[in-house]
Amino acid sequence: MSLPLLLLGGFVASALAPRLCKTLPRLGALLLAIWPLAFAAHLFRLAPDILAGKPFEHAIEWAPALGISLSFYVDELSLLFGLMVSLVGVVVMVYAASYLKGHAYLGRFYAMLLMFMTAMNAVVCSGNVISLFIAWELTGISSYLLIGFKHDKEVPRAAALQALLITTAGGLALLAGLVMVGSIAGTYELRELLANGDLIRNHDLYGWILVLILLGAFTKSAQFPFHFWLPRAMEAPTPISAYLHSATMVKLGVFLLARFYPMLAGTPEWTALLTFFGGVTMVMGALRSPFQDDLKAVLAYSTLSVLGMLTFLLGLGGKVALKAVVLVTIAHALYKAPLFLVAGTVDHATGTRSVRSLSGLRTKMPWTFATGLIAGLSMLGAPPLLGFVAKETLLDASLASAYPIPTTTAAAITGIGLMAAAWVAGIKPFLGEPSTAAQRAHGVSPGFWLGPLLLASLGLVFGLVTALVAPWTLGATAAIQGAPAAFKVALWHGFTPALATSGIVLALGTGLIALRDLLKDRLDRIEWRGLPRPSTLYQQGYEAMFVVARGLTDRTQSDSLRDNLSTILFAFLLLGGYTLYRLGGLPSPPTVELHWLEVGLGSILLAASFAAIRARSMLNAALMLGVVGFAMSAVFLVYGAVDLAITQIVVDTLTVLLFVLVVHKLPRFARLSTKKTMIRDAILASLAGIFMTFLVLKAHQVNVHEPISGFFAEKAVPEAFGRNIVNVILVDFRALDTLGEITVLMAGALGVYLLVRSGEAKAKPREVQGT
Amino acid sequence: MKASYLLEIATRRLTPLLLLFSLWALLRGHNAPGGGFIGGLMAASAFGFYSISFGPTATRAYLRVDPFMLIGTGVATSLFSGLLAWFFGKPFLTGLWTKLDWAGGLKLGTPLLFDVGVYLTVIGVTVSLLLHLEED
Repeated sequence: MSLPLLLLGGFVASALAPRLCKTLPRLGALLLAIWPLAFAAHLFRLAPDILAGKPFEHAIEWAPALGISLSFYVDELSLLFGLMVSLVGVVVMVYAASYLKGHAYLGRFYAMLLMFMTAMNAVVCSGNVISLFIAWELTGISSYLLIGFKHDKEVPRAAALQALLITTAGGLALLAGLVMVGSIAGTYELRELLANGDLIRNHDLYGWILVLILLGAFTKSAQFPFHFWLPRAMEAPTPISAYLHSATMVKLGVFLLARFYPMLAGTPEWTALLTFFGGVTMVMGALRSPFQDDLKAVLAYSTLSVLGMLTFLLGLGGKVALKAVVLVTIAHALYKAPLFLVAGTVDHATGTRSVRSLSGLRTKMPWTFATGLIAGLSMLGAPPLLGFVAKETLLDASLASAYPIPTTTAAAITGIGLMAAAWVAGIKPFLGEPSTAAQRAHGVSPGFWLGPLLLASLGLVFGLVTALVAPWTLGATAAIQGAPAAFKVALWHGFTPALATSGIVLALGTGLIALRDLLKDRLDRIEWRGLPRPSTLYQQGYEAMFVVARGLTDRTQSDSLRDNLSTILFAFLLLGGYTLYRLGGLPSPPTVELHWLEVGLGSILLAASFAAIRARSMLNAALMLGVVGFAMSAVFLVYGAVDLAITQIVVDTLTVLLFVLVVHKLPRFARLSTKKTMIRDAILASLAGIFMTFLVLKAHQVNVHEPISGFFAEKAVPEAFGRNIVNVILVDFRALDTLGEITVLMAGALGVYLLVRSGEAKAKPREVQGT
Repeated sequence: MKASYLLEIATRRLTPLLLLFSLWALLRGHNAPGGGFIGGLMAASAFGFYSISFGPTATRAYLRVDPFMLIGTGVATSLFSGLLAWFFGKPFLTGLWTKLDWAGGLKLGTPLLFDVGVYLTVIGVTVSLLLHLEED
């Protein structure tokens, strides 16, 4: 029970964050960082059992009728990702306290960050694919808010929207895939699904399922051709980029692929799709990364490359490739997050992130330099850092694949590109003569380098003492492949083909570093035209969507209430008439004995309706409609529907009130319709009325399904302890519907508010409100 | 525009009564005609009358909290009443009941809490609509 409670605590902490940061601006952030720390501590407490092969499981029923439960399944893979998310989260939260010191929206920042963090942990700990999907979408929404954190600027808003649209479109595909998987296997429980992989793989719909799930994973993990949202998302403040784009959000797609590996992998389709798209992303990112000028862009493209690498490795499959997946994931989190934070510190101190104008920063910020150096060396794959071990394993896996020449070439090119990128982002800004920007730079407080240095040093420690990561690597590999794994994790593997390839990569990478500036000048002079770019296609699609939507709205929506009503009534007559015909035509005439009360009320209704039509002022018309309403409620009373009658009375009172409030704003009463349209409307209205009468009569004579009202009447008192069946239905039997309805009401109220506000905004400039 | 004295005095006396009445309708709803929706509409019309007599600014002051606050609290309350079932190992939205012996065997359950949420939401939505139309 403690894991679900801890997750709930994350959302509570998120809700408390704005208030806390307002009362304790300095200490608040550090207090909030307790949450990820506590979550990590809890995972460490669970670790011995899990690493011994006993995953933590806990289920809470949610909607058992639909097979949806809130269940948790924490195995070695969840453990690895959960620890990464939480520990990097602590570092980012502490760092942001310095980076965003005194920012007006600091509380909001932490609220979003904690929400995101909790959602991430919920995804990796989910044991039911539906609850996994809900948490998955929650990460999308919170990352949208985080990327658009500078919401008063146009560019970050557009970047955030793009990321949201692409990832949620993928999310929809994913949901479809998951539902298909669920209906084939008859369960949404992860453990049962993973145990029944053959059932899915041998099913006729496997191809569709694979494509749908891959769409979800590829959009989230920014794989080619959906990669372009990631570099644009660099509009976010640097701590957010460091978090979202190193260890968390973009790794989710990879996590999903690893999670479903026992269920989906091993087919030719899987291998072909993953190695192709992963390989393209990997090589493209590595080649573009070193030639960016913005430090964050260098890191963004190198992240793309690593994400591609992970997909590629999962595509290759097999023990060595999966071991490489785990090692690359750990190493990447440990060097990429510090490098992003280093870029943020440099930006904060000098006011620029341009590679061209940065050099010689080592004297002004020695500790930041140390961080950049260690993390950069790990990224370029130098021994004895963990990055070296990861790169060796990558080369091992490519050499052992079915097509060693193309895969190893791709891996080697990636290694070379990433080396140069590591140099540009982590080391180059600190070397050489101080540039003008570096001379003006201010020194930085420990809050800026303590956390990042710690993370980067872990990469060194883990490389030197591989025994520290070995059990986690073994466990996570076993969890991915769904079978025990046995191998060694070591810095030194002896003289192997991988070592030789690694040597070639090192030599060529050093060459690329030396030639980087020269090459960049050449490349900048080339105009890249004529190449079809996925981002352009996206933009065109985005604009086309608006054109279609506007055209559709113009054609179907009219400002005239009468036109809209006519359309509705006409459709009602047409479709309803067809249904009536299908059910055996007109109803047989009813046998009724009219009570004098019914006759009286009926006459009042008719008279008031005609009076409303003939009224010569708005007020009269409204009053007459009020009479209709009250007469209707009297009818309800006569037939014993007291709740309905009360509701009708209250609603009518409110309608009259509303009318009184707006009547003086309405234009003067006028007759605008010609004789002809009036006759047409009268015919349509009468037909609709007559048809409705038929329908009501028919409803009494046809019995398509057994009515459910008997069930409600029978169960209301014994099961829901209520004698008012209407209320029992609303708050108990159909409470989910009611919950949906009040949510719709809420959305409606917000809509009215926005409409009124936008009317005001046109009249006067809108004031900006703080948190 | 000044409303009539008759209306002002009547509203001043009637609004608290109407609000009390709406609460009564809310509480008796499970066994007799009433409930959160009807109660909410009643309370909202009480605020509506108040608004006609004294204007939107005075109504906001009389209400003390922002209508949106009521909506948010309402939806959250209903959601929470459903989530409570999880803590007792039951599916979402399962009604939980307890019998208070010290209060003469009064039965209290999460459906009432749910209904309170509906009540608050309906008041919030309707009042915010009324006020926005009047302020516009």
